[in-house]
Amino acid sequence: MTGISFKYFLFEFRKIWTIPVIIISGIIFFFSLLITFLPLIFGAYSAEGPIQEINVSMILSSAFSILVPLMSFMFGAGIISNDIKSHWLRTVMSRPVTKADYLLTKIITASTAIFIILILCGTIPVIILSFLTPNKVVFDIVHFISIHALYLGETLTYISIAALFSCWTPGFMNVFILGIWMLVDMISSSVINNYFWDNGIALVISDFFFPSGFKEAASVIISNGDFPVEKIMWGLSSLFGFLSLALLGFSFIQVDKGIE
Amino acid sequence: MRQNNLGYSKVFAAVFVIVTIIALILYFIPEKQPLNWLSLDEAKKEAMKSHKPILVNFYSRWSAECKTANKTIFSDDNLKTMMKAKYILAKVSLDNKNNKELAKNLYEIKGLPTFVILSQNAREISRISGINFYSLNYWLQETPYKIIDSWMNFDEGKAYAEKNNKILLVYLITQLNRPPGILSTVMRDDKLQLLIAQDYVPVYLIASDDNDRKIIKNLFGSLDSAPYGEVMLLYYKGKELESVFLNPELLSKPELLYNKLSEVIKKKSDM
Repeated sequence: MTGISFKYFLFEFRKIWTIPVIIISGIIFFFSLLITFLPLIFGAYSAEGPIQEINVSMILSSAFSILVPLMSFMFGAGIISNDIKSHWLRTVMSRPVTKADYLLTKIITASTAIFIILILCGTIPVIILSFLTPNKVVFDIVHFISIHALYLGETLTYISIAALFSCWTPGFMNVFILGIWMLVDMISSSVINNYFWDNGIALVISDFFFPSGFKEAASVIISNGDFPVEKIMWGLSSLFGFLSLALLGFSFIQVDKGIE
Repeated sequence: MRQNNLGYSKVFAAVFVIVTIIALILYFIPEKQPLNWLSLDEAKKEAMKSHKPILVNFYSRWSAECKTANKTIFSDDNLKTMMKAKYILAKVSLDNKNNKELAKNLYEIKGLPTFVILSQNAREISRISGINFYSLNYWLQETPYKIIDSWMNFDEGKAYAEKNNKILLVYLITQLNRPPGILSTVMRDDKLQLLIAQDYVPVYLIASDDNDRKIIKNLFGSLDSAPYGEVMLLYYKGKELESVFLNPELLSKPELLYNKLSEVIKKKSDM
């Protein structure tokens, strides 16, 4: 087989839904329902209430910005290293599957699973809410589709980063590294914005420290700004950069030895 | 077992290089300015002429947030129209060393982007940092009403009105327990604000203030001789054109006050 096979994708997709993943997804689904519908039950969505209107794209963008990193930690942790540890990688590689096919299938599978959870925990509850609420609903189909497409891109980027780390470190460690990286990004942005805001080089470093092009493009779109070509380009740049690095990193793994 | 397949990796690396080059070009191309921003000095001159507050945008071309503000907030047509109508727009680029010193020392800027509203005589009224569309929109809509806090003092205003051929609007409060903030309710009317900005020089005198009390005594002989309550006294070239008692009806209906002030402008042109 050459290229990415749908049959292999389905196989990996079924394999991804382990008991812990289903339980954690269920808990997240339960909390998303609570967060969405509790204000409705307690009357916050009344004409006299504090919430004036429901902007579907804005709510989804806020929800996705939290769900995407969270889900990426869950599905990206040990995406490669677990397969090496369980000798699944050796089994797959003994079939007519290339390393690139394997890695891309893993990334696409994890991203698809995350996207399905985003639809279940984000899109569907918010759409139902928009029908039930007495408030004015702001819905723009172009924004709606764009937000989903951009956060799918953000998910693919996160999973590619997780796959890159997973080539060299076990599951827990690659989540830890990704978490530390995100934390350092937040701290450094705050320090630069407060103390080095007049330093051009520091501002540029802060912009490019952690990939967030797709997320920023989504925020431009929901603000009714110009089409964010530059932000999307940065998003694609991060995505393809990390994809190629992950493939390169994975090509150095000797399947028989693994990373242990 | 299949060999390593670096084909995808090379394709992705090539796409990465191309997309990054395009993104870098877009990053460094000066972005389209949705609004016509003046320099701070030009804006100060323009504000003295038009009697409007100045909105100063402290920005850097290195700051992604400043660029985002241009692409999102300042591209909104409603906001653009409101900003053009209410403010003289000024931009201070912090890529320039002198401007950086000015921003740090004079305006104490502590982050980007920061927006500062100055009165027509360049006194700070309010400031906001960050690029949240809704808070910035609200702040821009609300702040001009606080302009009462930065009105000129009586002597400055009197001299300015005479020099610029404008009507001196003295907002007089002699009722000691009445807060001056009540005027802001009626002033929340764009039409009225623009009328005052174009043809009047507003100053205020509050009897509870020691300095203002002296001026009131000079104007009326004693505090008891001054009109009681809230009054708008309108002077042109030292001569009283009209005194408007701000009764509850007038304070709640901006159009009535607008008509009154328009009549006074007509009176002035007939003189």
